[in-house]
Amino acid sequence: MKLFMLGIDGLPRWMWQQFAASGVMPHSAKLLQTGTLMPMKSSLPEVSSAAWASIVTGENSGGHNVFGFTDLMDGSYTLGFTSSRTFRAKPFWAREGAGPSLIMNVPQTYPAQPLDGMLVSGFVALDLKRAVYPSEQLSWLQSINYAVDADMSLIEKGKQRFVDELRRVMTARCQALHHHWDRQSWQNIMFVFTGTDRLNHYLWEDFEDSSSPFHQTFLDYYHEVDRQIGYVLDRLDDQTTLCAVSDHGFASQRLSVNVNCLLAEAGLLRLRASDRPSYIDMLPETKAFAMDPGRIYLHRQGRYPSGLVNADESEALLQELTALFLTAKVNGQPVAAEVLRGKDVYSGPFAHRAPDLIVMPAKDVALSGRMNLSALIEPTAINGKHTYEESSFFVRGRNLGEIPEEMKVENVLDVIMPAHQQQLRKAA
Amino acid sequence: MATECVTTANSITEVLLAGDAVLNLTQQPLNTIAGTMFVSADQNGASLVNRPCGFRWSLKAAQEIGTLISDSALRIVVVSEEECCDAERLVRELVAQRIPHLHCTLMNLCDADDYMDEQDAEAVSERLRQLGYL
Repeated sequence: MKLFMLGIDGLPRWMWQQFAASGVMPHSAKLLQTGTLMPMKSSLPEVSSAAWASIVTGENSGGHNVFGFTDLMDGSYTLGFTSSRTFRAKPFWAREGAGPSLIMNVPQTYPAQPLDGMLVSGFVALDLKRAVYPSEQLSWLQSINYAVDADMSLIEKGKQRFVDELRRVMTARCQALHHHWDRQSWQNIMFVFTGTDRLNHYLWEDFEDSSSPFHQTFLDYYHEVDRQIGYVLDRLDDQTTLCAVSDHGFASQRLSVNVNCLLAEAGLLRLRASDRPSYIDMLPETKAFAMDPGRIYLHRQGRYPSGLVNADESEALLQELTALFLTAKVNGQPVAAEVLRGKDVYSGPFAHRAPDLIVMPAKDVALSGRMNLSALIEPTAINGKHTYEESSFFVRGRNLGEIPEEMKVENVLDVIMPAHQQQLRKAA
Repeated sequence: MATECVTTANSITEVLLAGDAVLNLTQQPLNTIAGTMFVSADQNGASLVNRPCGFRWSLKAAQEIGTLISDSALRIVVVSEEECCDAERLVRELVAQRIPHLHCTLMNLCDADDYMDEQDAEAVSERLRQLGYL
């Protein structure tokens, strides 16, 4: 069987069903009748880099080594950005016998790594030249003004300008998909719509408020996404497994809380004075710090150059932190819904690099891990946030694996290529 | 308990627990804290020492590792580079003798960012800021 994996970044399962039923996404309405749609759980935390890495490798973050968009370089306070080189598990297209693959706009695949086939990297790609493999395909992509990312700064010029930009970028990406699809017989194709995530971040309030002048703009964008889905469906035969997934769900965001401010207020994070505060400014008496969006790390001795938290005090500290987050309120609003232990969440050869705690935000709250402690409540134009629950998983095809009752992003490959996954497990 | 992990020489302490004895098959110094036990090997066999040292493979030394397990050395942490034949032989021996162990492969995780210059890092930061990550 061939595989077509369609990604729709940030599309909640319930919204997909709602839009299919209401006529906003008529092609999806037909599609959803031909297979199984399930709610899926995202990565922990529910961040696109980690979730897409799980979807394409079949591992949780402890197995593929991507815990967020940022990480500290081992044994240092240097902030690093995760990328295709951070992956320590093979994506399905890089496995032995995968066959020729066309991989387009998958987040976390920049810079482009060699493969049997063609790849154009997704977010956070900076430079198209380094986002394309093989490089011979670059000039054609340049000729159609293919953009590695939408210009998100356009939101400052108005929501309509912003959505127009998302449409422009999507149109070129879809043109590129079909152009390269025609070039040869691919065993695997993966294509991700990412404009949906950007739209949800900035226009969620307009979706929720049907009287907003941009409510219809929001629906129209999804209608356009659905039209593109229709073009894909028209080309698929019944010898192809079709899997359509989103990496996380979405919900409203009314408050963005800087977790590092909470830690500083509790006396658990201390920074030396700096114009541009960063992790390197942490004083040795710091007990814990946060990285995006709610990853909490103890400032452990041995792990960090000036960390002083030793193994004997870590349990008491984790309990103190858990209580702190679960009781914290900002503007009368609870900050956390749940606090999880990293050791209970992650497995695999990189599990020791995991955060000690993961703070799951309360309703309407988003968490950040900025080191600039000037504002506990951060001003932002963003009004939609990711959710752990309710990402979308749709599949149709033959020889599928069993769909777990509690479907998670790391289970996608188990369902769509069960034989391959079993072989890998056996080899391990 | 996991028997394999990947880490760096700089962050080896992340995986070490009380009662671990480190068996270093690499030429790299490991960033361990004072008091960490190491497994040493010489012509007389294997022994525990309280200072960093390397371990040179010999069948005799490998077969003696089981005698080192005690209240103070509960687990052997084998540290090697990728595709190290000595590590494979040693781990086979530890498995055969049912000795609690962890095999740590050292990788240079910092190369994850070596394609980025300062300008790139600033550009990524800006994108992540726009989505509320930074």
